[in-house]
Amino acid sequence: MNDDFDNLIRNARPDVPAGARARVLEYVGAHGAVASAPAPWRVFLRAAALVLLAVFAGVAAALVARPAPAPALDPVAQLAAEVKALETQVAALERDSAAAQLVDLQAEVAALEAGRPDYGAALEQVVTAQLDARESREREEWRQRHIEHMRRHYAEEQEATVERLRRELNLSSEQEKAVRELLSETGKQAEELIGEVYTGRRHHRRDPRMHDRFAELANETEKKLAELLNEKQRGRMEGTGIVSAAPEDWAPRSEFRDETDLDVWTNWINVTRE
Amino acid sequence: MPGRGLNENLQPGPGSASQSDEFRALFERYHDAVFRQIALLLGRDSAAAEDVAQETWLRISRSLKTFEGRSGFYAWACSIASNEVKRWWGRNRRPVSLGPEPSEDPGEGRERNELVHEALRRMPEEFRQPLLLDLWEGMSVAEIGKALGLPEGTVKSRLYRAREKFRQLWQELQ
Repeated sequence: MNDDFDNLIRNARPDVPAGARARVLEYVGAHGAVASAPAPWRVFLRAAALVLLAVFAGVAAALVARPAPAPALDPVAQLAAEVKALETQVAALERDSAAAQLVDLQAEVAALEAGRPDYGAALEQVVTAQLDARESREREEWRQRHIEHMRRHYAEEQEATVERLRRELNLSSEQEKAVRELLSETGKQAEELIGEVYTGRRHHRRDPRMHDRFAELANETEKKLAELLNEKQRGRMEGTGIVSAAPEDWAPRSEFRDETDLDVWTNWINVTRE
Repeated sequence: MPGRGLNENLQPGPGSASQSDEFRALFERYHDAVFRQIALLLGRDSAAAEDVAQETWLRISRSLKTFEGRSGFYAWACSIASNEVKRWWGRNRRPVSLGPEPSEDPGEGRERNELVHEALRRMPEEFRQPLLLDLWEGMSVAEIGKALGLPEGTVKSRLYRAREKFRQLWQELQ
């Protein structure tokens, strides 16, 4: 039956038109992407352009830095400078006469401000508390959604794995039961690992240890599975993991349906990025 | 065909030549698979698929240095292709008929192929991608795992579930 469907799908394979490969390469090359290395003459032109640019920059810098010619000593200009200095002194005297009043005013303002309640700090506290509460709610919602999705996906994956092992390794009923228990236990441990991300302050933050922890979980499961199998079965199983060691496989994207789910998935990818 | 010893989780160095070599290797290896994925998603003639493929590979070549290797290269390329298909639809009207143009057999064969494509389009991509790499590209489980960045066990269970899902969708479409 499977072969019938396989042939059905094989026969529906779209053809790749002759020359398509070359046309794509040509298109990519024409748009200056990495498909082809730059030609030597183009490298030379680029280097020459850089040298010219450096020369122009040097000339421009020299022009800007050249000192202006010193002005000739002019008695009129000297007098104007002295007048300007006198004006500055007068302005300073005027300012100083008001300085004492200004100091008094500043002291009054300070006294008034000291007696005023700190609305800013109170507002900040309220806002912080609201943000914390919101984040906690969001964290809990995401945790529940993630685990719920993971459970559903994992249950299907687990069924398929057991079915495959039964078929490929001729599992006895006792072995099948033990394998089911093993996979359930692995699922629970994965749930715990995922749940931890949403507790404390690790939400949204990258945690590179997740890769090691899931790899450890996958290895452990494989070891335990090997203990459940006989020599012949073990030989046939060798080299094929039964649960994924990659954290991203524990947040199945296609299972997510709405925006909140997408948030959960994005967050998980963010937390587990390497 | 797949199977070359290529570092798919590449982190291109500063030299553009090595990046260019990596690009060429990935292009040679995955061009046909990505093209067929585009043709399937687009459901239009191969000329349109070729336009989208050109934009897709141009974008890939420009973004290659940002590819972190978190997923397999093929999965990453398909997500870019999928965005380019959406952009194409934004510029063009929705299709009247479904499915790419027929390859050889008109009539009943064509209708059947269109139904197969429709069922494949309705599958979640995490099942569709390994199934097509298996049946259209002839990749082994290990090669699919490398292309999608998944362990072999996960690939096997996804292939199993993909076939179940296809059967269910096929029956719904009959």
